[in-house]
Amino acid sequence: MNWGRLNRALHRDLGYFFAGLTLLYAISGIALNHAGDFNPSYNVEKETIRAAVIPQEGNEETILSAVGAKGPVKTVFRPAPGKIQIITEGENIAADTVTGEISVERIRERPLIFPLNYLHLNHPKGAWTYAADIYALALAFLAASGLFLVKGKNGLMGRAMVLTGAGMLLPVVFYLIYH
Amino acid sequence: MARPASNAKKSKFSLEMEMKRAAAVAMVIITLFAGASLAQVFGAGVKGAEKAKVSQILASPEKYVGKKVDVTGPVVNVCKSRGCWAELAGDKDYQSLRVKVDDGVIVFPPALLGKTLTVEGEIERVFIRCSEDATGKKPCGEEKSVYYQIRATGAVSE
Repeated sequence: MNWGRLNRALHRDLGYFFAGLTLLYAISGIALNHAGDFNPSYNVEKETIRAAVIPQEGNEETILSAVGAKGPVKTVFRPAPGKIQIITEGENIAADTVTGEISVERIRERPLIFPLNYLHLNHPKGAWTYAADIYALALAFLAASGLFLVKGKNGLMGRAMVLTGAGMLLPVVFYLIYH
Repeated sequence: MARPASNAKKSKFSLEMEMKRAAAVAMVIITLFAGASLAQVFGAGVKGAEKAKVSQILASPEKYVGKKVDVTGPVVNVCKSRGCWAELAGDKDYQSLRVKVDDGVIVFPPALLGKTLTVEGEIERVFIRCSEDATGKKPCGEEKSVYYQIRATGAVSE
């Protein structure tokens, strides 16, 4: 058996097969890396308006019409005296009946990036956990098999060793600096 | 000549049977999916501990500290960035209980807002040692206040 040919074929075909998952993890990885700067999964729109008068009692209709809420009411909660929170299908409304200030929060899943993050963070659990494990093992294989693709001065004993060593040194340096 | 008519009758009958069977299977699938969409299980789910109301816990929280309970209430707030906590409205006005989960083990999505959630877990006491000056640079060992939350091991939304 020609091991070089088998290695090349496996590297090529697994590379093709897992290209989609690599893109999934790469794109969501960038988004999740910046979770401190923005919400990577949800788009949270906030709006504040001031209503002229909000009655102390029976004020739900006044608040809903002031913000133009369309969805049916799911829950009404009074967190503190003079405060009311109304949750509809799609809106989270908080009103201050004393000041007349109403804040509306609309939360939407970010298109494309939400499903990617959902899978990256293993929210489905179950079988997806094993699919992700297999992908991780395949990545390890791709990294290792890649070292043996080329022979000669650009191969394992030449360029490959230098660049792979430099790449492995990178996280070590960062760890030593920041830890 | 009678044979084809009989065959046609037979095939019509079997087609009807097939359609009825397919309809029955579709009904079962739809019922299963409808059931799945109605209840969502988080973590270990709810296995059945002592039921407690938010008002009961907040009235005498020390009695519940370390105790495993099931608490039910509408979700009025969730962590939008990581889904690592939620807040249940109490059965009385001006009361709520924070539901804390281990990061990544259970994730509460914002879609839970307004839905009724039953949570199972232990009531725990949390000390707030620093308030606004919690920069991490100033030592602040003094206990300023305390609040109570449920450390959820599982939950089920209706």
